[in-house]
Amino acid sequence: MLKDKKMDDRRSILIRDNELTAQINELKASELGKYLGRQELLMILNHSKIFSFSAGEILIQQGKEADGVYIILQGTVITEARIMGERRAKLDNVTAGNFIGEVSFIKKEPCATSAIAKNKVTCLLITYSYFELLANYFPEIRYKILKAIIEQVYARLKHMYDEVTALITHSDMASLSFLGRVIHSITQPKHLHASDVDKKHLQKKDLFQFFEQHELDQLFEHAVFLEASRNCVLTHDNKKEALCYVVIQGAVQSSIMKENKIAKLSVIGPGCLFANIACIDKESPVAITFITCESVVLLKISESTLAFFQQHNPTLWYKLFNLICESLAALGKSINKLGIRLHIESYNNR
Amino acid sequence: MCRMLSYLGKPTLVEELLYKPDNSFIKQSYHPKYMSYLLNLAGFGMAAWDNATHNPQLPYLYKTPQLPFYDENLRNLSAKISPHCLLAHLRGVSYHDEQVISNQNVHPFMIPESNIAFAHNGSLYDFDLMRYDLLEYINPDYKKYIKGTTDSEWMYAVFLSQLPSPQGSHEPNDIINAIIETLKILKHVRQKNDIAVNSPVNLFISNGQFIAATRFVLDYGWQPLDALPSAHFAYHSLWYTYGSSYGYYDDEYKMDNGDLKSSIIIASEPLTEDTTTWLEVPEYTLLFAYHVDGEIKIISQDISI
Repeated sequence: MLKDKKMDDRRSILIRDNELTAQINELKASELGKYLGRQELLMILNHSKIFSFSAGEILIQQGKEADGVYIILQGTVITEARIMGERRAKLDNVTAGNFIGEVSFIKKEPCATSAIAKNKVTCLLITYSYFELLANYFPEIRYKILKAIIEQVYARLKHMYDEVTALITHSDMASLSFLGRVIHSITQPKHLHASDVDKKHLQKKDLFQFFEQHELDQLFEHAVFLEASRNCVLTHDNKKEALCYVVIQGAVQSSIMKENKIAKLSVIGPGCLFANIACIDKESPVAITFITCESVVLLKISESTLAFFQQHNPTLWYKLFNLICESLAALGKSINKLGIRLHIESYNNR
Repeated sequence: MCRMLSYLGKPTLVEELLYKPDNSFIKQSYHPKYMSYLLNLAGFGMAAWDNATHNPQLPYLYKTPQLPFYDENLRNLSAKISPHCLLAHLRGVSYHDEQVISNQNVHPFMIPESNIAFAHNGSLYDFDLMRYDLLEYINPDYKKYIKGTTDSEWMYAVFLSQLPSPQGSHEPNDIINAIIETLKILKHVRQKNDIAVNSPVNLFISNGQFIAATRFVLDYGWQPLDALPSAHFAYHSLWYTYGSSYGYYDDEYKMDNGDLKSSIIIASEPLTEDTTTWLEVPEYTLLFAYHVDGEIKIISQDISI
């Protein structure tokens, strides 16, 4: 009797081991597998739940908050959305290995799309609480997960960018005047001496609460404070620098410039970090122009400073990377919104 | 810090906009979804245009400094009238005894010489310093109508003074140019008085045939570093939704997506908890909505002054 029970136990362990091996192999083949090793994937599997959905079942619903981000292990998921001015639109077929709900996960917002199982689907759910827990105990694993997620966010961003630039090209938008182009090209930011900035009050702003004091000290030591007047171009299309800025005072506008037409994406105000696309892809064809729309004081974190933090202060780098991902997810949303607006509105027409 | 709602389209019962949706306009007075730290308790006003009424170019104007959620008359009225255009405003001011809560300060503003109603969400920093410099830009005929203490009423007078005529129909460009000119005047007068602190200017303007709305802040992002968080330092929100008709469809209030898009709502915040059929207007933007052959056309323009 005891012998039979031991045999059963061994059999169930064997089955579980086989299942686990299969699941690790599925994860290894997924976006996560590009960045995480076998042991790391095993740890995630041990702390996350696997869900199965039948065809027609809803994984996430547009407008509702999800519990985390899904990664599809098996099956296909259809994403769809209600878009203003249109009926419900089918967006994509998402196959095994890809994330579902990645933008809302990064932005911690209600889902922008719905996702419905097309056939039998198995998914791993990385919950918000587990992801936050990783920040304390295994920040490197959290960073690697984020890298995998942002890659997918970026792929969608590129796709939307192509669609929107085509719309701009064919739109009746007014072109930038010669004077406008000249103004954009002559104004340049100037360095501010660190002692001119009231760091004591600055540190109390929400964004900086995210950092420890020693991290802030290092950030302020290596980053540069700048001031710039209105209409100053901060990033150039042809200069692919992996850098980011924090707006201290004033505001910066992100735009797409295409064939002398400028389409506004969003405005970034005080206490927000924005990053150049090159932080994710140095060869990116996506050209976003950041122009000051008010006079500004900025904290510039250059490519070499980011590289320095990555090498010498990974905890600070992980936190900055988190903010960079948030800014790129926000940028993706703005591009999507511009696309909808260009279909509906007569925008900046001649 | 004030909430605004405007509607242009198929005649719609006012209560469907003010009371029925889950984030209804009246609910936004005591439970605003955005800027929830400041309630909008300093008055309610609306201008409602209905072609079936006497003198249809003029709206039914209702204003009260009372709390709208206790207003039985408003509730009863809302269940009876079905305008094709509505401009409603909830006034929200900071909680201190210097604030003047009176009918004269309730939006929308409308003078007898014009059929254009005007409402504002925002606040001009240090308005007392600049107030009388605006007189230079106001048509003398309109000065006598400024009766309240708000910056908004002065802006209305400046705006009307930039129009070719305060009455009748207006070309989109007349309204757009007058709004831009008004913002330029404000900017100029502020510069003259060394005022360079964040001041939101979300405007809603209508004459029953169009809605114009701005999402704009003068000197955005400029506030003292040691300033406490305040509604005055934020970029006030502005959203819109459009479709064939507004109503209760599929268990929720929303725009129906028929082929002829004839209705639009522009508001400080969506009327429904579910915002998926709404679009947030970008910062520094002017929207102008009007009908062409029964269909809503939307002109949007970056405000760069």
